[in-house]
Amino acid sequence: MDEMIVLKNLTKSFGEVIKTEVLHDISVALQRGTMTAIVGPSGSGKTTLLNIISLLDSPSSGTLIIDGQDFSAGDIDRYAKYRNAHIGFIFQFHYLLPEFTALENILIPYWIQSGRPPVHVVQRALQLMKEIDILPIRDKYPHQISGGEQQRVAVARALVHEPKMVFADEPTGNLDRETGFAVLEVMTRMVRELGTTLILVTHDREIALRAERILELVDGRICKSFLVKEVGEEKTRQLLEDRSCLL
Amino acid sequence: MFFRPYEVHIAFRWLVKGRAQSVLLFCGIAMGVAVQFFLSSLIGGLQLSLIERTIGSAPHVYVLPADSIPVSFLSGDSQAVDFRKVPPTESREILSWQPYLDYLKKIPDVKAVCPVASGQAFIERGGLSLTVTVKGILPEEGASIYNFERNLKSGKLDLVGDSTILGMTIAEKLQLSIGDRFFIRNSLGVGDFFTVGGMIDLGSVQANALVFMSLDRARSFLSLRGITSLEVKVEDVFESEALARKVEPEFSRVKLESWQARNAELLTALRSQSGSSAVIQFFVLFAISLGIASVLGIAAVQKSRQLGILKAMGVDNRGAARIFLVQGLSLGIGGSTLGIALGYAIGKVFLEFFGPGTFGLQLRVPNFILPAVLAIIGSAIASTIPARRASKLSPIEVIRNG
Repeated sequence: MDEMIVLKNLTKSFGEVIKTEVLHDISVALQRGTMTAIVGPSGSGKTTLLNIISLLDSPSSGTLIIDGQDFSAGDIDRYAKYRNAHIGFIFQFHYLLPEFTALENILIPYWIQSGRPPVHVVQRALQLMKEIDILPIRDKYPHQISGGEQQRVAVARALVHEPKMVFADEPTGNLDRETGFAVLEVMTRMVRELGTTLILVTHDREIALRAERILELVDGRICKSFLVKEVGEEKTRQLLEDRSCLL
Repeated sequence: MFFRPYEVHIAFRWLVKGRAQSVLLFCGIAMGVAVQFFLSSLIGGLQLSLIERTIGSAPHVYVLPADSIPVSFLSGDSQAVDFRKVPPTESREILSWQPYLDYLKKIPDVKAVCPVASGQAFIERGGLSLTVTVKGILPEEGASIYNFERNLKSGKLDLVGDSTILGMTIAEKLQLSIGDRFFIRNSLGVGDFFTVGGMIDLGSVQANALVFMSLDRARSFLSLRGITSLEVKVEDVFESEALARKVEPEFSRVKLESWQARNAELLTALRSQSGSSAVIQFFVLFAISLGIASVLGIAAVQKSRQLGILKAMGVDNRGAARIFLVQGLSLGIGGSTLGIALGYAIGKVFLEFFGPGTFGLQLRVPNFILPAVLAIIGSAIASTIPARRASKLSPIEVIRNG
């Protein structure tokens, strides 16, 4: 398996006059087609890291290589173009466009990339909806459907253009446990079927356990980085409980 | 294409879904354009009517004898002969007028040229003496300049022999009827009898104090050797002054005077009216643009979440901005179209109720094209405020704040 995302000595600071560094010297490589969970306490820099590797934000220093391309310099338009073509997003809040139906929301990334979607693209979206059990709500508006359904629509929207990577920030954080797991189930299944690289930020250990790799961030540094298969489930649980840093 | 499909798709959906806001904006623009259209039609109509009344049945350019007599270059020396001195008659009359007439007739913009012999005279009747202006004209050319066909109230357009056409003021004051004979005396005191052949109404008291007769008859009556002026009617009345200035260097011993020079006060009044109308129209447009800017500005704030997620999905800064430009342009175009229809309807109703008795509305194409184009430009400019906001919005802020 080759590397999809490579970070070398990456840092991120905020503020103009008084600079606050929130990510310090991050170096990590994430494999193509795998699922990585980023865990850590609140304020540890999880979301900041996710924003940078998903090209929503640019690093302050260091190297950011995505799919062999260097994105270390913050070219906003290049970022936007790449995001549209190769990246899918699922957020804690669904962020569906309330003025568009479920199906239309799913097709928005295609609209942005290529204009009005042709029949075969609509068919693919409908097939995706069918696979994740949201076909009956295709013509409903976001306010007319449940939270679980909304998040499934967001999942379908993130996957419809078959992106190389999907980034999810607490995708189940706003759902009850049962619905959350159902959504997660759908998400991981789809990602595996399509061979997509999934990077997920979560507080939830049970969700993190489903990933192939777990990265733990504490105070803007990578504290632990391991493969779940290598250490085993039992050891993984212990590692997630443990507050000490291994790196 | 200037706009990408998704920009139009999203812009229209937001307009349709924000129905109440869109309808209010549409109506605001439509009302503004309708008011501007109606106002410019009304003022345009009023001005045309005023101009028509002032010069519609009058000459547009006068060729008159030159006032100044050339001065000898040997002035001061009483021995010198002033061989260039124009005979005194030429300061009152144009003696060799035929070349001027021929020259003017060849100019494409000129509709009619008429040699005129005019002078002050007094009609005496039943102890009353009324000051009038006698105008000797060529029947055909004179009829064209003074619109005899349209302005004739009674009698016929006959200027043969002693037959005259009188202005209504004279006819009414002296209670003259068709076929009546009247005595008229020139400024030298010499008098003669003439017949009332027809009566015309030229729209003003001054113009209605004219007595038209044949050119030859007037020349003998006024004891003139030549004519007193050449009167010219042109196609485009506003080109009169330019025409006069253009032709003047070609002529010598005469001066040219346009209706504009003779009616400077009217022109000033018309200009002030146009100016005040433009100021009103500017502020109407400004108010509309402010309305659009504020409503779309609020919409941009309301749509921050949607814009944030759209940007996360790959909409670039220009794309986000152009969604609002599409909205502004659509509102401008739609509102203007509705405004033109509304303005036209108001104009028609106005004409129906106040009718042809007053003055005409000038429901012309430029009168609605200009406000419509200005409203569209205004809307587009107004939409740049939310567009800039949308452009600057960072998706991370939206996602971070939920």
